[in-house]
Amino acid sequence: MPGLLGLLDLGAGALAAQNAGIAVSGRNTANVNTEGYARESVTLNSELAAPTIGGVTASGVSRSGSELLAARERLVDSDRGQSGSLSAALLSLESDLTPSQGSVVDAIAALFGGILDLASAPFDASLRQGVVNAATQAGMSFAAAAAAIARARSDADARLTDQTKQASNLAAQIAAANRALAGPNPDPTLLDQRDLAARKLSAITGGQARVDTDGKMRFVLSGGTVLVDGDRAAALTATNDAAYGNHVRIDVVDGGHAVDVTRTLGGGGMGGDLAFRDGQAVQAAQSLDQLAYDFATQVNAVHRANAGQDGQTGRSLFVPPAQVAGAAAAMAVDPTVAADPRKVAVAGPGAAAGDNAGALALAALKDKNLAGGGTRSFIDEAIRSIGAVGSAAATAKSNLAVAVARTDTLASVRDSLSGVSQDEEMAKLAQFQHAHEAAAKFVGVVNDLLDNLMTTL
Amino acid sequence: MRVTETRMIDMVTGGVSRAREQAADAGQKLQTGLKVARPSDDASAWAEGQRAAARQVVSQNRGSSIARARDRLNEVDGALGGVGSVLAQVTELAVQFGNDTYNATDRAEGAKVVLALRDAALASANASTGDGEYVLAGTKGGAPPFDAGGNYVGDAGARNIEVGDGKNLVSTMPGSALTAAAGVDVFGVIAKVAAALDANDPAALRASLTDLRAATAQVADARAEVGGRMKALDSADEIRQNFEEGLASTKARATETDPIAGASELARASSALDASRTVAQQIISILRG
Repeated sequence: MPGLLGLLDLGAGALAAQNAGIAVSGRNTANVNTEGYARESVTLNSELAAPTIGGVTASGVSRSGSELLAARERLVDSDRGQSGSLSAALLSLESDLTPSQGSVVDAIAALFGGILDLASAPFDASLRQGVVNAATQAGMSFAAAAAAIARARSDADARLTDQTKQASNLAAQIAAANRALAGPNPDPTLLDQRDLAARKLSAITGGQARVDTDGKMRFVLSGGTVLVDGDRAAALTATNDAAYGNHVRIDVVDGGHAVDVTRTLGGGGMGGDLAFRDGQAVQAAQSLDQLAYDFATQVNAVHRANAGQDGQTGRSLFVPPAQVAGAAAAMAVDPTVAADPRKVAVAGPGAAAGDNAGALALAALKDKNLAGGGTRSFIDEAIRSIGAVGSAAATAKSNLAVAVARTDTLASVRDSLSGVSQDEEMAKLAQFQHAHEAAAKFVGVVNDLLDNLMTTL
Repeated sequence: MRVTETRMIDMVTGGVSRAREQAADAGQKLQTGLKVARPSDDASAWAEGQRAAARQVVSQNRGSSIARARDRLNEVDGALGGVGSVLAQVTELAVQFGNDTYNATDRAEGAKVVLALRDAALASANASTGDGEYVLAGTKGGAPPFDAGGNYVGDAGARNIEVGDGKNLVSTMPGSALTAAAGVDVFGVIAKVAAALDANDPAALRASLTDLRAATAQVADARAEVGGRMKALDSADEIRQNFEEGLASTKARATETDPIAGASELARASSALDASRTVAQQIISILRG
């Protein structure tokens, strides 16, 4: 049988255990709104009764986390980051390519319309000027679309540069957490912070983390390049590079060693921005350039074969494009024709000035399949080219909705597992409070017994 | 499943946010009248709308072209009418002065009148439009088609305009219709009448009546042909307008919001927003309690 002093020890142990419970509940309640916080619970262990009456001890604090769930969340965060940045970039470009007035489609239609109008009155100076204005507008629309695509690619570069900084910071945080967790008495919230940093890093880079047997988190990018290895974190850098058309190259820099990961980043916000910059935006620019080249070349061929009001043939309506690349940005009306609309080739070759065979031949181009490799009219190809950006935006938007729904589902699972419930914490607090009061009462009783004994003695 | 207060609030705010987004989207569709504003809304509907809009632009320009061509044919008709009127007056004078009761002095005065009428007919045949094109010059519209002697210096070229997909119509009438190439030389006939009057030759005057009648018929035929071309343009324009209405319907069907369906969608979205707000208030009230 234990002595009274032993009972006092038992009561003191019980008070300490309930205090630990109150402290953990208090900490959970305090962190109810902390992002990434996983609820904790105190582990109470009954002490062995033999050879005396046992008590209770708070043997530790456990964290309600799941590495499997965290890994799934990082995977979904990567998808969400990628489709989010891709859809935002594509929707923004789509908006620039579809102005309420003056789109490439509108401009091509207006030029053909103006030529049809002029065909009915070749001597009308205002209609000739109208055709020159419509051709100028067509050039401006092509150039504006090309500029919008170039701007969108530069914007992607700016976002990538920002993201490299954020990713480097997050990688450093994970490495720091790895270091701290390996030390004595690590704070469990470091695990929450490390998980949160890994999720954010996955959302940015698309890379994945795993926790090794030594408890340290390792973060690897989709191409296999290691960003965080134990206590060591590499940095991501963005540098303008001529090999990427003067766009930024993404490197993983570890000490003096740099690895180019631009073409291997396959997920996250950076993967989305790279897919946009080097994928969809390049395709859009190439389609637009090809259309501008075909349009200017075909219109010029017919224009050169026909005669202006002065009877002269051999003039181009547009400045002839030297090559496909850059044709949209450089598209402009030939300065000779722009300065003198009488040089618009309305008449057939050798015909008098009132002839309109040239105008009819130019207008007939609208119905011919001279674009898209001879498969579409110019207007249909312009619609297809802009529509392709919109379709890609719609797909990315739809992928984003799926990723958001998956994130939402996983958030519910995580909440179910590790979220802090205020009701639960209040109940636990009351439970520990009552236990604490009981233990205090027990200590008081033992104290009274001791007093009685002392008085009797 | 265990659901915490934080998650409940997240779900409630997410629900209200989604309902608000849907209401805003429905409101915007109704306000702008567009259910498809961008290709990402519905790529094929957007493409259909764009194609219809581009064809509308072309069709509208065909309409302007047809209207202008019709105005010009009207001016051609006026010019030919002026020539025809002169021919009628010259015929009357030829009949009048073919009578033996007139003497040489009377016929010499008559010759002066006929020459003045011939000048008026030439002025009419050399009519030009506001942009300076001579309407009876064929494709040589930059200069008067008839010289002072009544000789035709234009050409027989006619201008076609596009009135529909793959369909062109003639939109001009060259002054060669007044020359020997079309039958008789109208101004030559008038000159002959003036010469017969000046020569005091009643027999030649009477003989010229046959040519005058042929010239009058030739001008009338030319005017009839002009009328036919105007009618063809009118028919083409009617077809064009119907086609354009069809394009407007296609565009509207593909991209525009049906006001009733739009209002109904907005009402549904508003109700959903109200419901999600009510649920949110109740849940927050439960959490407070």
